[in-house]
Amino acid sequence: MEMDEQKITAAAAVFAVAGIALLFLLSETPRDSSVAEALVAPANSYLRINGTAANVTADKFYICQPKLCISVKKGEIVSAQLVAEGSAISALGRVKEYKGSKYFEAERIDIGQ
Amino acid sequence: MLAIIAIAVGILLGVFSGLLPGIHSNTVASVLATLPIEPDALAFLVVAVLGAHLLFQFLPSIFLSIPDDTVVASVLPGHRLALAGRGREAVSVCAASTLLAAGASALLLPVALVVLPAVYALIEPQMALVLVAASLFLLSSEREGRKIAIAACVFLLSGALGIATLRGAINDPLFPAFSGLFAGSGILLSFTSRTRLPAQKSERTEMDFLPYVAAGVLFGMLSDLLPGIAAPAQIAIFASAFFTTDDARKFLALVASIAASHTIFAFGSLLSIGKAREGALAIINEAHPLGAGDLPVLIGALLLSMGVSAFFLMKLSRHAGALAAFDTRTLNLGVLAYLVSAVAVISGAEGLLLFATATALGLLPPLLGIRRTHVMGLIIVPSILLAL
Repeated sequence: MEMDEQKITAAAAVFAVAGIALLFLLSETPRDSSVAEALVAPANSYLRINGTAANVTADKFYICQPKLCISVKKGEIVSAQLVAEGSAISALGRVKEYKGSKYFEAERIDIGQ
Repeated sequence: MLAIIAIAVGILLGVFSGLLPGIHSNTVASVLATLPIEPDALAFLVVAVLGAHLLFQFLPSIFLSIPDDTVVASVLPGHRLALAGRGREAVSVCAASTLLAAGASALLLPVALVVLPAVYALIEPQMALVLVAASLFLLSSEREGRKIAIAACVFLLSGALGIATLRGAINDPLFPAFSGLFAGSGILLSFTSRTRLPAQKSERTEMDFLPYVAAGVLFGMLSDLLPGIAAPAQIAIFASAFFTTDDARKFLALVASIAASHTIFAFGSLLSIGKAREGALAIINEAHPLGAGDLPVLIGALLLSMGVSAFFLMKLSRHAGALAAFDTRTLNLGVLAYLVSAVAVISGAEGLLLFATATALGLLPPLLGIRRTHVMGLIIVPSILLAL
């Protein structure tokens, strides 16, 4: 009985560690996505979106495919310094939600992809 | 008249969300906010949902050991009392404590409007240090070096699960996490014995828990100063390290009072420091920006909802004896099936993985002979990182 309990404890510990590792892996592995999928994805989804930059302002721009768009923000860097209107871009980041609206918080933006 | 109808409907919805684990009062409030309801009626509706949910969430927690994130700390002592045939007594302690704490908090609310900003300014820069110190105090309550080391491992592992959970794209992640840590693991361990929930005795109880209600009011006010994640549950766990008692009723009184006081003082924190510590309040505030003049009527509606809900809760708890018709294995299998289905629907495949992982983690404290509260690292560690 003592031995069984030790085995159960060890199995539970191994399962817990493996589960945590898998959850981390899932949360840190980006998925290729369309703008439409990003707009309905749960908050925090880690995605890579390809599209065209539009409505570029100092603090944000939109990534469009071609008519459907999602707002993109990227840290402190001024958007206009990153992308130009109409440039092809690939954005990697997480979907965020504010007051019911979805936007994309980019970690990395590649231009001309 | 519109207010009365809104409160009545809100109470019904709050009863529904309280009885069905996984349906949070914030979820109901966010669904209501999408409907074409005028802002004043929406405020009464949501406040009534909050009050009824606060009371009725104790039923699944006490009789089926399924936790709600606000009162998760009540699961173990509450279910222990139910297994001793004292579930109705546990319900009456929770109901009385909630009403007393809510009344006292409402009276203290004007004071809180002045005190909260000053205390917040004092604590806010040191929040991470406060949480680390409180966590170390919690771990040291194990007293033996070996147990402290094991507890630290479980605490950090739970923290890692918390970080993975909150970084992931899981809908309502605290539901699968808490359900696994407390209900899932408890059910798996219960399969080693075959018992029945005994016939439940009278709800009569001694009113010797009033000092715990008073402490709960103060701790609840404090919980409105903490950042983000399940603050009332965190405060209840820290408070349990200070207020050591073998009397499960007194601990329940503390947890219920903290939850009630947190809800009332959330109005104060919204108006004084601009932090809506209750998701439902943020929803009301968006539809109808709250001012100090709205407080008397909304707090009155909240107290009315709590009073009516407490009355029906006591009536309903009389029928809890019906659960004694099932042996606990059958009952637990039913609860497990419900939880797995609810997690699948609400949180999806990743939610099921989280539930299974949390269940495995929840098995460790009882198997290793340490207190189960250390799994609350799940919300405490991310809060520390949030406060840094």
